[in-house]
Amino acid sequence: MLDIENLRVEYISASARHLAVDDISLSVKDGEFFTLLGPSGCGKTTTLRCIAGLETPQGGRISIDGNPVFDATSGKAMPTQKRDISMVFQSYAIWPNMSVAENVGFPLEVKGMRRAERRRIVDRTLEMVGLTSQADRPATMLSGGQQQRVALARAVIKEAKVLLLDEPLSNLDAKLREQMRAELRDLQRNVGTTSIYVTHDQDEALSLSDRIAVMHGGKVIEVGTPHDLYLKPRNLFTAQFIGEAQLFPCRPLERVGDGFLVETSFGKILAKVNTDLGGEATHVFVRPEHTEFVDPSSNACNVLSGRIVSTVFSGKHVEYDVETTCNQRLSVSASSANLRTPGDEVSLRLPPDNAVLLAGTA
Amino acid sequence: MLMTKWAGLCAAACTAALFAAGTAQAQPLEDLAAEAADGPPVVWYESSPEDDADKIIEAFNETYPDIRVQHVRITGGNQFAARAVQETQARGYTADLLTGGADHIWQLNDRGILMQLDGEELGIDEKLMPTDFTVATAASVYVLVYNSDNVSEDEVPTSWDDLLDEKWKGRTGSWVRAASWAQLAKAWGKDKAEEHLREYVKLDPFLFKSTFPMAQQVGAGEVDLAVGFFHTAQPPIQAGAPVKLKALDPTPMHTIYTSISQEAKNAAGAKVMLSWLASTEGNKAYEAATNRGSHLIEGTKTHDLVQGKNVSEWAPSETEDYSVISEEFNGILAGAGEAR
Amino acid sequence: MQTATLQGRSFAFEKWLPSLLMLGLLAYLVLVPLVILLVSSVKPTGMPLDPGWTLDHFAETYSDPAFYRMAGTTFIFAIGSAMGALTIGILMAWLVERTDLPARGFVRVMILLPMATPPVLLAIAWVMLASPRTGFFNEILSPLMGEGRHLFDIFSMQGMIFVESLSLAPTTFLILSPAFRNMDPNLEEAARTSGAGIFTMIRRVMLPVLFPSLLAATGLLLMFGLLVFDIPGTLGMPVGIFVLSSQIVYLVNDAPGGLAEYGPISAMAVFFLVILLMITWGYRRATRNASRYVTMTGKSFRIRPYKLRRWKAPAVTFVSLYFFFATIAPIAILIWTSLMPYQAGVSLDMIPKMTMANHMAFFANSRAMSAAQNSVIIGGLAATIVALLSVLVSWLVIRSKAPGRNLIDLLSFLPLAIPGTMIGVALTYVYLTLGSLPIYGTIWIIVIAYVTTYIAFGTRTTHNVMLQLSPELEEASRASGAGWFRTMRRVVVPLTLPAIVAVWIWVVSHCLRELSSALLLQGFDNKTVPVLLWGYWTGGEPNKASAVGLWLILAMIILVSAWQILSARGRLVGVKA
Repeated sequence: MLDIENLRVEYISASARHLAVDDISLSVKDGEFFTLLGPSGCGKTTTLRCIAGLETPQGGRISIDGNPVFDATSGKAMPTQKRDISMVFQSYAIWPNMSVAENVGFPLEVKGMRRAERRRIVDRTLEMVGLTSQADRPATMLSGGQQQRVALARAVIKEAKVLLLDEPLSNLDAKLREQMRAELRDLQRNVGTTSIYVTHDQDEALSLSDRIAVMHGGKVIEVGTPHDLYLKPRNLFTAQFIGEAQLFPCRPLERVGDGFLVETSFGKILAKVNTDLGGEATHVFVRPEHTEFVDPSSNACNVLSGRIVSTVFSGKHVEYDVETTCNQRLSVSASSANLRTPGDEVSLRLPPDNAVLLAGTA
Repeated sequence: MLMTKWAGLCAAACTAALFAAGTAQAQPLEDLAAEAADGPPVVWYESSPEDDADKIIEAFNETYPDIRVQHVRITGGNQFAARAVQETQARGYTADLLTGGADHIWQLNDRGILMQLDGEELGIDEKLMPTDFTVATAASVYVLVYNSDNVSEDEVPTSWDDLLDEKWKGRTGSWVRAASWAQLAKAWGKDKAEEHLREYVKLDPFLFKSTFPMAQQVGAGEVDLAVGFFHTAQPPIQAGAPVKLKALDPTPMHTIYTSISQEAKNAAGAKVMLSWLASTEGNKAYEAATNRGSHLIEGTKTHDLVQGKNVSEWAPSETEDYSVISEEFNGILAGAGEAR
Repeated sequence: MQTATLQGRSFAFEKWLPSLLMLGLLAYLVLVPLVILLVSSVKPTGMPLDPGWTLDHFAETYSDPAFYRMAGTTFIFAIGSAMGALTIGILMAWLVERTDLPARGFVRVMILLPMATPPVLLAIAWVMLASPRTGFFNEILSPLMGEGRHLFDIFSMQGMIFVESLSLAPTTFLILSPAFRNMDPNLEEAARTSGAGIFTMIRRVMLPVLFPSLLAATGLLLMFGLLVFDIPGTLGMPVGIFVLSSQIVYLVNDAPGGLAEYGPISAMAVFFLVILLMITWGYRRATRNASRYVTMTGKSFRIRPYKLRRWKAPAVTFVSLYFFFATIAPIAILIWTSLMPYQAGVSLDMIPKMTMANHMAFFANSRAMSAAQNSVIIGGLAATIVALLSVLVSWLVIRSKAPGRNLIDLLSFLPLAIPGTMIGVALTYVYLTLGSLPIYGTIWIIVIAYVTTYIAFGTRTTHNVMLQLSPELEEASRASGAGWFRTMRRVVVPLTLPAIVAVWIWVVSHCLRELSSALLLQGFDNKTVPVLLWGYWTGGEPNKASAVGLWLILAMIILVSAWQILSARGRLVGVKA
């Protein structure tokens, strides 16, 4: 549906050249909810704006549904308004000079649709986002969440092939954000449009996306499903950026059954994820919530003993800071069913199934 | 057949040319008027307000009803000259009739823009024509303008020396340009005029960018006594303001000249108009509308105003000297403010 | 995968096209007069087509100590009146746009009235109000002051600055009020909920957000102050306070030699150009980080007027005082003058002499109708062109990444440094030589002169609003499928409408009073109302000039009231205008 090849965007200021997007290639499937995730300045918004045609890249090719919209080699670009896209902006970009219905109906007005028919579709769309009663109010009189819905409705009504969303939830407060996240997901499912979603919020990315591209420094680091990226990231940056991860430097030793044995500062660890890296592994990690407290007498592998240094209670979970016998600090996130207190001697197990090998330098 | 037609045409053309050449030598005014009636309007650059110009043209048309005159008002003499030069340079012609000060007219003549005139042919008195390219049609005469409510008849200075009396300190006004003193220098010599000006400056005169508002301020009583022009004091006087005038001896003044441009579109019309302006009848009509007549034409108010007085004005040929003195004097007068 | 061929246009072409079109237009409007000005400055006679070259004009102008003395005086005057006008304008704009000041619509109409008054009439009105000997205020206060003493002396630097500040305040208000209106109220509210007092809020929240507008207004006011003549000419010259513009007027009209001295004028104009370049450079530097000033993003935007509470009485007093000095007193004096047979102070003795003759004369004047018609056409056309051009220029300069946008910006600001006289001179040459475009002596040449002269004000005003407008509002339109033209029509123009209308009103009112280029460009049948007024004024008939001035003010009242009524109605249906 959407293909990006070797996209390159360079900003040249008086003092320096800055590569905002560095040779990115992506392919998004029809109907997919695809997220560009990364810290600010990673080039995700720039990439999205290139797709929309709001930014002119210096290199590469973009095509939507098989139709090229940008080609650096021929020096041609299809202007934004001709591209089969619609977009939701971070600031909603609701036009304060128009009513809610006028805002939402604008893409249809552009298409030259007659007023009566336009109104019918607008009403239907507003119903979808629950704003029927607000149709004729000035758009400026709405609350933040309502404006967000107007922006969404305006994007959806165009029935474009690709829906682009640029951090649409970042301006909402936490509670509303969660609610809107669910609404957004439902809406996308209902409409079935291919969506490209830009965010720096991993929770949003994980809960909404079919696939995620993790971006950093203008490059795509890794592309995968939320499940894969969380449980078996292939890249150090991904592991660190998505979820909490404590990386331990390691030295690979040998393959043991379906796992691989590595040496760390606190002993030998058996890891069963990414064993194909084998001898190239430089780090190993286990998510805090995968680390288990076990019986000190347990004889299983990957067991360490230590002492709880501090705890942070957050209701559902308790975060423990544990210092092992060889002075290694570890975070453990455990259920609040069984509380431990600082000073308790504990044994920890790093389940081999959740121990992930990574290659590269941190 | 063709040959005879050509021959006929040639002959007609030749006779026409001969006829034209013959009449040009001493064309009586009536012939000129007849020729002018067929031409385009006579365009006249002059500085009077349009309403006044309308009256002049109306009077002119009483005598010459068939000559159309278009008056374009251009204020600021230097801009008038600059515009005539610009127009001539850029499109080859400017207005038909040009009225301005000596420096402007001589400037235009230096640039070859003006037509040589035959005073005899136009019936213009030779004393109105210092040279053959221009005619003195009016004069701006300097007079004392005073508020008759604040200054009694016997208090008014009767000589330039009386003007320097201490009692006028802070009560007097002048045009910001010291042109009247520069003209006085012709009669007095530069040193005496300069000394007089320096003494005058000590009176802390109010300086006005134009003598029109100055005359109004005299009427309003903000200034009691000012050195101004006869014609610019007329509007408040005619409106009934307590403003009176007194001409001093010597009387400084600027003569105003009218010329015809070389490339005039309706030269005949311009000549007729100029001739009319230089006639007693025309000049009086001009004066009635603008309050400026020629002091050289008997029967005008301006003539009566300077009657028996020593007129002080640099000759057009002395424009250089006048310019130098004028600039220096302007500086002295402007210094009046810095002294405060 | 890529089967279809790309139908788009070359983006390089697309990038350059708007810049090239705009640069071409501005070069025509601005560069031509500028080049003629520069050529004049190096011609011995100052006439661009005369032979010879020289640097004498520069040498003479800049080696003359009098020049620097005058420049010093001019700066004091310009800075003083800019400060005065800013103080009044900022307070007025804030009170009208953001607070619960009573009768704000009325205030908005009243504040603009002095703009239609030709400055020369405002100056003469103030002479009649506060001159030391016959000024009305001094007369009524004389029992308090004692014989021969006076409280006010309008013939002074303070007097000049005071009147010029009053005269520039409406301009300041017009530049700043759209900026105030577009200011995100959340900012104000955030400051208020965090317990900030009114002064902290102004200093920490409003000033930074309004910074570009303030900067633009300051630059503009300084340039106006440097070049204005009427007020210093009427109030300063009598007591020997000379500014640079009085020197220009001298060189144009009265310098000995018989020709307007365009050479020294042009050399002097280079000085103004340098100052203007510095101002432009400063503005560009200060507003480089454009996104910092975005305040209208398309998020919640509800204006809740600031409740003045105990400040209401001082605010109302301030507004009333301003109106008294800037509008009521001068207009009252103009009415008085227009009813007098000659210029006379306000006194009971004069009442029997009252006459309607001056007003009758204006209406009986055979040229009044055609002059009014010309003025309406010229004002309407010039204002519309300037307003539209300003939006386009601002859009290119602030919004687009078009190449050459800095040059476009500079070109649109430059005319401010070219004295009106020189624009007239330049256009005279251009259209005298361009035989194919026979507009010399017609109203069209005056329209061109006004567009050139006023584009600077227009762009400064629209720049600020464009800076406040989030680019996403436009991008959303394009992403909705709208092309450039529709985006302009439906989004950019409506959202910048307050500024566009402000520009329009400003230009119309200035066309109603501008003289220097209109006088120079007048032919037989392109006379305008101000030229008529000027005719009365320079013909020594200030009373008739006052009568014409009053009718201009009346036209202004009708115009501004119509604007207010329309925009008030617009607001009901949710369109902010």
